[in-house]
Amino acid sequence: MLWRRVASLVVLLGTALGFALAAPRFRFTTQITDFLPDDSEHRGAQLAALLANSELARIMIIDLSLGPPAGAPAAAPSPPATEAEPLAALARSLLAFLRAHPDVAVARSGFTEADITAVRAFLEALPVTAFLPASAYDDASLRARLLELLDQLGGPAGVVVRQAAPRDPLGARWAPLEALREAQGGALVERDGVLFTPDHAHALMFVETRSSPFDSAAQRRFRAALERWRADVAPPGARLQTAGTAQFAIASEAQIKGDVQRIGFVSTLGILALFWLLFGSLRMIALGFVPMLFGSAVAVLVCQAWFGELHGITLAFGTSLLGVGLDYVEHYYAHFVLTPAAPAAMTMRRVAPSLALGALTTIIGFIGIGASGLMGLRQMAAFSMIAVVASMAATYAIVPLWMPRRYQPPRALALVARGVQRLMGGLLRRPPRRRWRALALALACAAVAATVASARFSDNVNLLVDDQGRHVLDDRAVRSRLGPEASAFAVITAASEEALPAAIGRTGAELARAREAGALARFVPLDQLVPDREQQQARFAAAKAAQPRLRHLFEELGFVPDEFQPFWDALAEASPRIVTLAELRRSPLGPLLAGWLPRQETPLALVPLYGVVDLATLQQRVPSATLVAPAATMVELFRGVRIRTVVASSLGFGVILLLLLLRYRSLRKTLIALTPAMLACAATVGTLVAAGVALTILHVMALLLMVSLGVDFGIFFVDTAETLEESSRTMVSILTASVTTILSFGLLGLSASPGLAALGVTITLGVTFSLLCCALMITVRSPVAAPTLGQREAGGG
Amino acid sequence: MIMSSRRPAPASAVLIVFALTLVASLPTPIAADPAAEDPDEGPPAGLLEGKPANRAALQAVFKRLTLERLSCMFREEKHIALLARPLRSTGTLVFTRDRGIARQTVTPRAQRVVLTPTVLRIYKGERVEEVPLSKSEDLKAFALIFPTLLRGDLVELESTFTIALYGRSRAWWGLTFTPSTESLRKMVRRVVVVGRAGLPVSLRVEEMSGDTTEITLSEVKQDDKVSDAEVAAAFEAP
Repeated sequence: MLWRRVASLVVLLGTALGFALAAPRFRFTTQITDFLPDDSEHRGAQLAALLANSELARIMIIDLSLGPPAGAPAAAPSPPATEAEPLAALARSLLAFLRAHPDVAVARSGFTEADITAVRAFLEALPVTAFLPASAYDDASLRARLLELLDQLGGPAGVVVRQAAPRDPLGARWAPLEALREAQGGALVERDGVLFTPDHAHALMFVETRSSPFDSAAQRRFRAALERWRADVAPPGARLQTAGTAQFAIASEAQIKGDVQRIGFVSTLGILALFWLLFGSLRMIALGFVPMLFGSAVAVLVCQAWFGELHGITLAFGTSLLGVGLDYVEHYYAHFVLTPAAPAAMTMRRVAPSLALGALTTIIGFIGIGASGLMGLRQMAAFSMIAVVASMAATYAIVPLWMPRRYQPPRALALVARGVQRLMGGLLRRPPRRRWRALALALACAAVAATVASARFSDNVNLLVDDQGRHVLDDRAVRSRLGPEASAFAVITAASEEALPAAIGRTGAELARAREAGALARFVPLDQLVPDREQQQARFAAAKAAQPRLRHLFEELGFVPDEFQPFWDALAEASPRIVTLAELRRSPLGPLLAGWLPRQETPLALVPLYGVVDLATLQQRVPSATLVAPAATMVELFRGVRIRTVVASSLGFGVILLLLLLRYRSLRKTLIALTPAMLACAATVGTLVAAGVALTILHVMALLLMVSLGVDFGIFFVDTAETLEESSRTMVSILTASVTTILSFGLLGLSASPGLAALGVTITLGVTFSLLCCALMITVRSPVAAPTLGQREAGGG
Repeated sequence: MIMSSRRPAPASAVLIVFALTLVASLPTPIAADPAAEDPDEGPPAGLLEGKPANRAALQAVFKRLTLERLSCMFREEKHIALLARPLRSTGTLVFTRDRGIARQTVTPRAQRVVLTPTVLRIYKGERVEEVPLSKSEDLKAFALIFPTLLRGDLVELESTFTIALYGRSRAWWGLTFTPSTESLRKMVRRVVVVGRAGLPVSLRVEEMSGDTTEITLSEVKQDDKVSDAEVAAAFEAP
């Protein structure tokens, strides 16, 4: 006994020491991509994850406005452009602040004079034919371009045009800037290097931080700096709104932390109160927390080593799981305190098979969650399984060693036990007749059928987001000011970086034809910004071939051809210098292209598409790229995950059935063990459906967990309900377990996170129904009435 | 943001050229001064030769250049090395002290350009390009040439140009503006404004490339003779 106690202490202290040593190196994340399907065989999943991680998603949009003066009506007319100078000056000040901030990699708004100068210098160093399509060298196009040149020579920009025209009479080098302007759409206007909404009421800036947008600590620091700038520099009433991934990460983390603290505090308090009420022993209370703390510590250590970091949701869920981890102790305690004459070890041997079987069925349930295909849920399942195994092991091996030798149950427990026994006795005395049971069963089946028929499923889940949070509302408001968002993307991949421009060119041509056919409104003309080698050579050849016609046109329109000697000299080269993608990335155009040309292991380009009529039809017209509509793809992916989880759960349920059949070798006992969980599951779904809740993957997951818990209850009930008294003790343990589980998960139901709330509400409902169903099962189980409480154990049973 | 012309030009350059054009648009009033009774009489040969006048004479010319409103016709001729023939255009100019200048080109094709105290707007069909004045110090200087000249603010103009006066303030005179900043000198050799008595009548911009722009004003109306409707049409027309 002594060496066992010493060994248990060594294990516990060793675990605590390991936890303390490893804690400083723990890494936590709230990365939403962990909750995106990551099925490597599903291209849509890959692309959705890629979009979620791309530069497009990393950019933070800052919206600066001065707001109406105090006392002014909210809908005051927008200031004209000439009166927007204070906001423009403030925006320039903010841009300067951002560019000086050590965590800011890129901060930009409109094109400043310096930007244009840099881009001009870069473009002027490039071959004049690089960006002008070969089709621009037919007679009509050449004439149109030269007439425009003539017009511009006489216009306000004439002095600049005159400088560039001898080398570039066709304006070819401005084609990339035109393409960028086309890409930007017409929703914003520019004023002195600052982008504004058309009413000049909002200035918009785009920022990419060096820290990951998912690094919420760094993002919080950055936002604090922004706020300090606003307080110190901006006038009263100035308003900063932002859109982007970072604010979601910060809000998610804050929400999860709040939930964890709230759940942890109230749950612990509630459980302590319950334990004191029922067991009345400080020693037992302290001991009761050992398995769950041990299980959680082991799970955290293993998951950190396995996954490298823990997701906030896993932690929140794990915190709630502490309540579940107590179930084993509670079941054991209930039997111990209600049969105090029996030695602690003997009581444990009596209940251990039930605990082991319950733990096994719970683990099988978590395997179903792990099979969902979501990285985040896999981690959560792994965490839970490890915690359950470790808790179970601690309950079995450690708790009995430290149980009090002398114990006087509190009166409250006796009262509860007596009340439960009275209730069960009443049920046994007046059991429902067989036909009533059959009728109830038929009604239950009909209710289940009606529920299934009327159930609504939603795969448009928002796992971590409080839909009405400020971060969501700000994000929507800011994005709405940017104009229409891309409804879909053409994702272009290539075998190498060198081959990517050709693939972009093919896709661009297909998209242009599709646009002419009315299949989409517009797209970012990336092909005009990233010409491939063959295109550039063909363009150079077309320009050379057009020389005689061009000279003739020059003369016809009143130009002096010899004044364009630099242009003729460029065409006299044997071959053009080829502009490469790498060169463009390094150029002043690079930051403008980064969102569409993310740096990935697989060379890849993203072309935003606007006004897509039908994605499937468009995909047929654009075979060179994979078209992805992120929102629709997510729905499709989560639908797949939901179906897969249901299938995995059904298989898991089948495994549990087989396991119980093997254990009991009795169909009746097996059904009795399973029925409470099944009925509770049906009742829970029915309640949710009746309340108008659309069922999501998270409800499915919660039902799976609930069924696992319900089966535990059923097993306890079958295994330890030979007599009415034993049934009562088991019911007390189930009641206690239910209350502790509800204390944990019920609080999750109050979370503003839709995901956690769905888990909490579903499991709370399910556990409550499981408890009720277990109580009703007494009428089926019909234990033999034993004469005295504890007689069996006292007799050495 | 990208400028919307096929060859977007740096905003400063656009403004510089426009400002130079505006400088050329300084008005010739009809019978505004006894010395200007014969508008067909040209400036004397060799007006810009010899020694510049002293500062007192320069200040006297500027003192007489003050208007609240003005409208006139203009005729412009650009001699550009790239072209075998000069580019000619005609149109109207409207100026108010508060709103700035609106230049409406009529031939060879319609185009409207408006310079307000803070921004240059170029109207091209349904598209409007906006170029703020605060792009650079050079840009500001050129944008302010016209109003500054009409205000008679010699000191302000001298911060960017070396100014020399030839002739007499009550007869024909010529002002030469030579950029004093390196960035301006790369594009513009000098600007010459020729006037008679209180108002200028022509302008010549000489670029470093050798290209020149000559602008002559006519049918000038000033102050009360410029109606509100005319101003509104020039500045607010779509």
